[in-house]
Amino acid sequence: MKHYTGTGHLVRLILRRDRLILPAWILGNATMALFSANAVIDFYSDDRQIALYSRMMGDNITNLIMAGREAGLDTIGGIAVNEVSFMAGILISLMVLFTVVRHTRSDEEAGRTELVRSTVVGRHAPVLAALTVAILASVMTGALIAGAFIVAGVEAGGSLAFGASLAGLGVVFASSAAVAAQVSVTGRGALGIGGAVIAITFAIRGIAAIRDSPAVWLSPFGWAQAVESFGERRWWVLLVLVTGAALGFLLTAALGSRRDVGGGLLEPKLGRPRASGLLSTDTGFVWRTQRGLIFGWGALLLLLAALYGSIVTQVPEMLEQNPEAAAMFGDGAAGEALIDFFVAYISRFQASLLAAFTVMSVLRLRTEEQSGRAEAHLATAVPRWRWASANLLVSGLATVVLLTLVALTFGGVYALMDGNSNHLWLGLSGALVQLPAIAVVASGAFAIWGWTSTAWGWLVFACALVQTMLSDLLRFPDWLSALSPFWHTPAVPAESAEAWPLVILSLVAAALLALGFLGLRRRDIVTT
Amino acid sequence: MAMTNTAIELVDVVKTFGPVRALDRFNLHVETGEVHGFLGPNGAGKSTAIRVLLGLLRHDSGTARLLGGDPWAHAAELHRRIAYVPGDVMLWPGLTGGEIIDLLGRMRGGLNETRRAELIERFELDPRKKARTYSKGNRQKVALVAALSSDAELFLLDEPTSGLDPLMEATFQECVHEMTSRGATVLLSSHILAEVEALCDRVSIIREGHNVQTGSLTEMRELSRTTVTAKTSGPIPDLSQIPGVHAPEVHDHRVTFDVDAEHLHAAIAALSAAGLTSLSAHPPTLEELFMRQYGEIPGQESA
Repeated sequence: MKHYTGTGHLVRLILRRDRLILPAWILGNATMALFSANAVIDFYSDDRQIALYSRMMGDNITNLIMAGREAGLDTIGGIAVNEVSFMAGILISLMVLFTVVRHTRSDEEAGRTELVRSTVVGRHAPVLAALTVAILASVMTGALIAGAFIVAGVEAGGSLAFGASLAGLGVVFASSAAVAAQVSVTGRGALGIGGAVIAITFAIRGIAAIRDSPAVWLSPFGWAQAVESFGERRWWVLLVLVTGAALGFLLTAALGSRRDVGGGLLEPKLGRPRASGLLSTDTGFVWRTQRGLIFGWGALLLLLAALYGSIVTQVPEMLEQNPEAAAMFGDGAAGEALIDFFVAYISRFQASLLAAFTVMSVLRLRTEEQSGRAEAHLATAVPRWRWASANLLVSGLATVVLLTLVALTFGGVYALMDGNSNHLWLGLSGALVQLPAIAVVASGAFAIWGWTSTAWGWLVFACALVQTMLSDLLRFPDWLSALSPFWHTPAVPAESAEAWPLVILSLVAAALLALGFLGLRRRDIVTT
Repeated sequence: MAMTNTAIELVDVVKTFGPVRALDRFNLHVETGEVHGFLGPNGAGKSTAIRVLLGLLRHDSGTARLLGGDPWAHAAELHRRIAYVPGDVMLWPGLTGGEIIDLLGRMRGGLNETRRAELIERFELDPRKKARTYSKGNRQKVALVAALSSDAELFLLDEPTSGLDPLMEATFQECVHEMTSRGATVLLSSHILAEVEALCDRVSIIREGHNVQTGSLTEMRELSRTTVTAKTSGPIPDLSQIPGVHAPEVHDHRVTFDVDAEHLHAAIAALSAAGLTSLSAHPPTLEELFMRQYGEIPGQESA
């Protein structure tokens, strides 16, 4: 046991360091489950609606990709699981991935593990401590979600089984994250490997579910689902999850016994000894430091766009049965026009998600400043305005390109499903009219950073997102909704595009940009 | 830009961060072509002064001139003529050392290719490694190579050797000599007193935001006290009666004391009268000067 000496101290250290973030992950996940379960109970109040749900969702491709083939869709519990499992599963997987890597490889890379290991701490203690906390957090998440279901009024046995399967999923991905942390020598690399394992096994489950194939057993998501909380309720399947995790623990220990502190299986590659011509330009530099961000968001948004594109053909059938949901897409959303309203709604929603990318990309200026790298940059002959405008230019161009690709992917998948190539262009105008609104949100974040060097600009985005997603549902008064730039963009193609709101939004964005530059010119650069 | 003999001129510069006065009527004068040492304890305001000179911070009052220009209003133009090495070097983790050297050099308006290659060799830097894999010393080397391979007129170096080993420290000192033989000016903030003693013509000492002393090391030594150890055949006279003598310590026929330069004559005369048999005197080391300026040495009031 000498290799595990000191684990208890390290567990306390991790709990101290993560005392805010872990409760946020756990409570956030459980709260979402509670709201969803409540909504399901309210909405699917009679047998007719439950039957409709299982008919609609049972073979819906999007649903199969996201949530797999859930057993017991003819029960209220099964419906709740189907609605919750995607988000809860992804959140719990990311929670354990970040927790394990942060306290193993990232600490090791930063040299903190070296300091810790020089005290009376065994070789495997850091990884065991990280796994202990990740497992505790998984179990707590599972327990709280089971509790949330029970509180909402779902049957208790199935709720417990679902909570247990989620916890098991967390334990499996904690285990794979620990292996990834042995393999890569950087924290980023370990996050990449761990994230890829989650994404690939998620995709395997989705594809296997579409074909109703036993290949679902190749994925931990498939194992968790095979518990069938509201179907057969097979508790023994939990053993599969535990066994899978145990294999990962053994592999972690074996790799950890053979390597040096700081070492791994994948050593970082050497790069170029000279800067390319592109890197030496202002915008080339920004592109180089942001391309990972751009590609990552691009992949995510295109995937979502493809999913939305794949359900357009089913929209009329879905909504005719459910006029309340149809009202969500706007007044007059019925009959032939229904698809146009749906497209307009999705276009606005996707644009508001893309605004998150734009804000993040613009606020990279703040990351540069906080990290002290802006100091090195601005000590050269590059003036502040050029440094900032190069970043804004890349953020803006990437936004336009991503928005176009998202619209074409959405339309393209719809065209494929419907066999009508004209649909390819359907989402494009609806997406492009959102550009001025995205510009207002991003320019607002820029202006706030320009004056205060803070990231409070995210609040602008958060308010806009709440308005886009919830204002109809929560019946916001118009004056409140009007604070969000997305409220002013026309719902193309359901409505015709009016020019003047777009002109006004563009002018507001331009004014905010100018304001940001004014602030940046006057203030101190934050230094460490 | 007007010809001028003054590379850096800070007059009564005040810079506050909220309630903290980081620079409190601070003065700094650096002549063109000199290597000027910039000494002070941590938190004394050295980096703040350098960042004001770089136009990254805007001072509240006073005058700041850099190479004859206003460092806040004309930051970018002036930066073509200067090179900076920060104390805590932060690099872009995804770029290699070589890429960062080129990037910073080209953003400054070009770098000297021959010197770049030579410096990478001399500092034994692997330019193909990603910055996230560099140690502190190697990050420092990247910043040094980037700065030193420019043809800048003025170098602002903020503790540039804090992560380097003694061999690299020697290489750095050679490089500074080469820079000054080209006519460049250097402002060198450092805690390594041997380095300052070896390189600097003049020194400014800053404490709590204002400068406590400026001058050449020779001047400072002359203005300061000499440490004397003497033996006499007769009993040691009462030196504490002589003005300018500090803290004499007597052991039998042996005495050690510090004395201000202008009273050295009187002290030695008194010892002579007592039958001087052995005498050694040495000027203060930079270390002693430095410690006196920072004060708080028990038994010695600061000068």
